Amino acid sequence: MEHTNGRSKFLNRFIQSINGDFTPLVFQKDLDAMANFDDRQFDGSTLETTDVKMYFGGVKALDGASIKVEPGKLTSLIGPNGAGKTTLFNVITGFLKPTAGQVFLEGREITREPIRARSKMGIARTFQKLEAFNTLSTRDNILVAGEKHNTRTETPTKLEVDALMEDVGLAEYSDITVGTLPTGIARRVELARALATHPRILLLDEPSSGLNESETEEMAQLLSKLTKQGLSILLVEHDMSFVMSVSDFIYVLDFGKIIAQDIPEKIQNDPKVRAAYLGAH
Amino acid sequence: MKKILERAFKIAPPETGSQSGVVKPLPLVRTPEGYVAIVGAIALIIAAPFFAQSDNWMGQFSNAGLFAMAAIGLGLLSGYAGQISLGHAAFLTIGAYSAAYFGVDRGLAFPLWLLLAGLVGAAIGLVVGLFSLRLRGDYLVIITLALVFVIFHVSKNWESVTGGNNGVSAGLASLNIGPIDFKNLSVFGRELTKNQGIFWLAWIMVGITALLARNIVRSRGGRALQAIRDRDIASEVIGIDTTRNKIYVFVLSSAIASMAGGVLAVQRGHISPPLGAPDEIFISIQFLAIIVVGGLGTVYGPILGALFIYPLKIMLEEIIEIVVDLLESIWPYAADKLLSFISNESGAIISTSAFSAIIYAILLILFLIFQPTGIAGLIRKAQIGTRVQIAKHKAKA
Repeated sequence: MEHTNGRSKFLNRFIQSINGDFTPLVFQKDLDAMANFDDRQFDGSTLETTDVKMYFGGVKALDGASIKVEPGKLTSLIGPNGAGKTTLFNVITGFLKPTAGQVFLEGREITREPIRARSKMGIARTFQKLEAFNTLSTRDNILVAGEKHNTRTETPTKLEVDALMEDVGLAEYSDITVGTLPTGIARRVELARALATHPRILLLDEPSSGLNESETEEMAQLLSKLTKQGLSILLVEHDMSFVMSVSDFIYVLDFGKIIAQDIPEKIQNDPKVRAAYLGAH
Repeated sequence: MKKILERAFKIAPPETGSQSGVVKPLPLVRTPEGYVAIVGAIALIIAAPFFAQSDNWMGQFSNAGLFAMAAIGLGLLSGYAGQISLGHAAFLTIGAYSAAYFGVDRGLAFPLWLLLAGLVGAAIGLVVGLFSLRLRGDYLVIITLALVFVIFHVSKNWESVTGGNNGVSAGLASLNIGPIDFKNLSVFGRELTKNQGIFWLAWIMVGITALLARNIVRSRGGRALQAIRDRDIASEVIGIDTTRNKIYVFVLSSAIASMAGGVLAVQRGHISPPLGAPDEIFISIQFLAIIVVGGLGTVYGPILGALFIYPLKIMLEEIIEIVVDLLESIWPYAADKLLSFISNESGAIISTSAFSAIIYAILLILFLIFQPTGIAGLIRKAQIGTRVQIAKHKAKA
């Protein structure tokens, strides 16, 4: 600490805080805990849906979808447009209450839990259409999520957010208003925001849309790093080569039903999947 | 001393800056111009009562201060949390009657009745908030509009507290903090009028409210509010309790408005129900005009807005008077017509207060279309422009 004189410390801190210019008080144990964020571990959870049905009037958006996401694995959900992928996401994250069926997180039923409670339990998601806080800076976007989920005091939370930005490649954009950032960067802000909530399972809705080739490649690397750190990921994605390269397991959804489930190599050659994508039934 | 000045005028970073893991909190004041403005404003406020020519204008500017205080609260609600209230005037009314009841009827000391006025406003704000803010969408607008009518009818009919149509006197409520009596100040042996004392009190309260608001918006709660304003669904997903946060800020803004209303009542002396509920809605619209014209999403915007909008009504009245005088000498028929159209006399088509409400509404629309960031936005633009010019000048040299 730069202040050795106990008497003037608080006065100094007060003057400096008015100027926005002080060295924050950090405890050594917090620094140690944050020394190397590449060693960060997530406590990945199992997520399971059993026979989820979601009817909108006569439309059967989901008609008995059962999937299982294993801890530390990247599971993908693919299917043609309108197959019900985002609907299943919305059921899992609590935006929709299913007509029938259950959702389990780590064996605990969460089908009727509100959105916020699920966030506390460790479910995080991103959106197909960007949902970043446009008038806040990149840091504040992530900080506002971190603050809700961090038991640490203020400064370590901020340091953690800084480390997270470094990790996701946002450090140079930290003070820029997110509304002015290009889509690719804003997607990363959303991802970092989701990670700041200390998730056990992360649901990504089309993370590669709006990204160029090299950005997609970086995203793929980031996702595999996260699963290695123990995070469970459920991915909805259109870009097939992206899905095939990152997934550990794939579910294929068509007309609200799971028509195939297997490892990527086998899904690629599955005639039912090819038929669904070509529109032949 | 030199060091303190150097420190005070050092350019602070525009936002929280981070270099290799050192996190700085958002500064209270971001730019050196900000310090200059604050020091200037404080000097002006201290000096004003000694130089003001007219006691009436002193009264008007203390009212403007109290409006600024209430507007800062509304600015937190609308500018930061994105919720719109049409019932801000109702909370001023609640505060005014609370001041009369606790300050005069019960004879409580100033800090105590002010606190109670705030609590009554907060309690009513909580009830309204619980009903309207649980729902997503603009239900708050409708329910606060209804509140205006409810408060209007209560003030007309709850005679034991509000005195019914006759009103009550709030002028006798004390404004003493310890030995300092703001109604009866004397500085350097010079006696100040009631309006001059209340002018200082009002602007001290503005300062405290602004400090409170600034600290809220640069902290955790403020970030959550802005997140809700930007994307309420995404905020819910990251675990922010949107309903609770919206209710908190509504209750806070209600309490602030109520306290401002209490002091306003003491300054005006007598309070009685307005002629009709629409008058209260006019005042609520005036508040919206204050925060939009001043600049949404800033703390100093509502203060500038109040200073600009509040005196406008009196200036309009004076302008109408001048125009009528002028017309009478050259075209008496038109002057007559104008007076039968806008005047405070009965029989006129619109009253001057209704006319000023129209002007506020027009200003509100014009600002929303052409200058949505308000006066604060213009200042920011000028600031950036000057910086760019200075940088260019330096680059040339």
